[in-house]
Amino acid sequence: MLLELQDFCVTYHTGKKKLKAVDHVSFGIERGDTLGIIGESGSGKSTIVMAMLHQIDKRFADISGKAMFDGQDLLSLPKDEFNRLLWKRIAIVFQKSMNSLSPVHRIGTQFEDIYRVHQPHASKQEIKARALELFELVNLPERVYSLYPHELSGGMMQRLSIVLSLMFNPDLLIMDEATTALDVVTQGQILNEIMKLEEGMNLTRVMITHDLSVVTSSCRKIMVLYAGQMMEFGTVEQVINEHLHPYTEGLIRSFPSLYGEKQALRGIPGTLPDLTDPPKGCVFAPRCPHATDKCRNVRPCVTEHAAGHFAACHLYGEEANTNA
Amino acid sequence: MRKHIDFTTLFDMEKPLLEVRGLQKLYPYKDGKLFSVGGRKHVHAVDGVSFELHEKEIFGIIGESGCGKSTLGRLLIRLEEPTKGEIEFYGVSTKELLATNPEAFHCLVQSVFQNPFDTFTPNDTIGAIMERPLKLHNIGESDEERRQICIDALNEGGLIPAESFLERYPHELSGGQLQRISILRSMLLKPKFLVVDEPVSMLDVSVRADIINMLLKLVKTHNTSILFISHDISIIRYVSTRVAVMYLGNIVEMGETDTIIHKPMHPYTQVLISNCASIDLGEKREPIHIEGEPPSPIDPKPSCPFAGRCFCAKDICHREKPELRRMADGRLVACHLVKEEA
Repeated sequence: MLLELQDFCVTYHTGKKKLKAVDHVSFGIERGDTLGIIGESGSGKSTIVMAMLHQIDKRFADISGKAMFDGQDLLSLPKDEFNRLLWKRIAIVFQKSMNSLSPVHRIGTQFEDIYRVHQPHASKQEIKARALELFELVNLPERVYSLYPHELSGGMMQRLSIVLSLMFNPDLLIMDEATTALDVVTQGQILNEIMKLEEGMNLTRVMITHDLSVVTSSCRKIMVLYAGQMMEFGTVEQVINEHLHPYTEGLIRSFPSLYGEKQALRGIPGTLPDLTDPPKGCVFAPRCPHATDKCRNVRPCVTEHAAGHFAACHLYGEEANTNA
Repeated sequence: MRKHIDFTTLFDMEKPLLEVRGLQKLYPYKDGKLFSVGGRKHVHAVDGVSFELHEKEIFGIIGESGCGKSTLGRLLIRLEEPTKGEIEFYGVSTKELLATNPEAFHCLVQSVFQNPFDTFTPNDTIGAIMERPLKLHNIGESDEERRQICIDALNEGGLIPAESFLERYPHELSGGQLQRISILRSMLLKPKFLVVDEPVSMLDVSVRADIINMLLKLVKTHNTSILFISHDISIIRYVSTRVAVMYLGNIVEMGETDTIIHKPMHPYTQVLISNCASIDLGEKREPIHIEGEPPSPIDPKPSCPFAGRCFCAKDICHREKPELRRMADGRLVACHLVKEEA
């Protein structure tokens, strides 16, 4: 396992209340695998990653559990040791990463700056050679190196952010809605470029998005997150075709198909529960069409139903328990 | 009490609901130089678009951002004045209609926009917002009656209990609820034609489906036609019967939605659809790779707009702009290289 989260919890303090943004999430990714984390807005997708990467101030949130990256717990690492990992072994691309570049410096200069954080003695030629090598991978022209950020289009900027994150051949690449703001064609091409890159670079990718179609067409595993809790985890085939959890079913039914049969679309009625006062039982029970008394009172455990296919739902829980 | 306008006395109902001929919208472009050489430059946002729309039809427009799909929608509801071309509803040009009977035009044509948070005046209650179009058009005799019309509409749209919504302010509601109200308000005047511009792209996935279904149900009961603008091809496939693909202000392909999605003919449509992420497993199509970004719409050369990025462009594509031609299966394609003419 390259990355393994164990009983990961993030609780924000909001005034007197406590908000459980991530609630006992455990999962693991093997090296070279791709995982898509999917859920509605407010389901805690980004919080998991932000907490894992020390981006959430400890004063405003309690973070517990373990985030094991290649054998060491990221949460207990001291700041300087963690900073040595960040960008070198773990890289992240955000949705609006175009805004993360300085508008008054040339892209080349910024590239050098970032490169020298980890390689203080690198020469200009060496850095440029590395940059151009990476530009070629994502089809960016060479002239980009001497341009300013405002001279690039949205697609080029996003490509550039991906290039920047790949600077040191990281083991883990996290993309937080990195292609959401892009056009259909640009998004398709960037996803395709990344998938080709991975084959060559032995990259592990975690992709956070609310767009199920992006995950289906570019990842091998899916984790479905709802209100900070893991609902279902499995390979794309398992989650899309043999989904167990009613929430996953609801998500899939709210996406129209492009090639397949035209099925009636159906949304999920209701809204996310108030996480400062979460429901007693299953967190999805208030919106679930199959909810029983047990669902409303007892929180279901995450159980394995087929090899590598996990779900947290009472509808299936009993069989699994008797089998085990 | 004045009822909704009777369109039969004003229009020739035999004619198609909407006919657009050679519609063009140019925006003057300032290139930042004090003395620009060679006259004024123009951005060709919509560059000669023609199509027809019939009653009860849902017509989809797809394309990348900047292809002019929203400008087209704004031209049709006359938020923008077209530079050239005709827009006719039942054979009456919108220009004439706006000059003689603007009320009838606004009863006939309504719109729904992308961002529901910007649609409403923040310091009016939902009740005031919804009653306003009724008041302006003298529908309903008293305030009570208008209030009742709004309550009925809210109930129809699934916003229950409706009375509680009338007293609330826009900021108290979620995006999904606001977009529902935006659609319901547009439908209050029982328009014949609705321009819907990316109605769900701002909303969360779980509420999208319900809003689309509500819209489809409403237009079915009121016999309204829709021009549905979206960049999401799978949603367009779900709602529309016919679709037009736009690129750089031009319609490059137009026809039955399913035929076009399953067998795109224009190279750009092929690129667009093959690059579209979908939730269908198994039917993975290899995305067609193209270079670069859409070219600048400032005074484009007389060539095929897609020629510079096309994967099969020939000499003729760089010299001549192709016209829309009818194919054997009834669709229209603007490409020099596509054969199989009817």
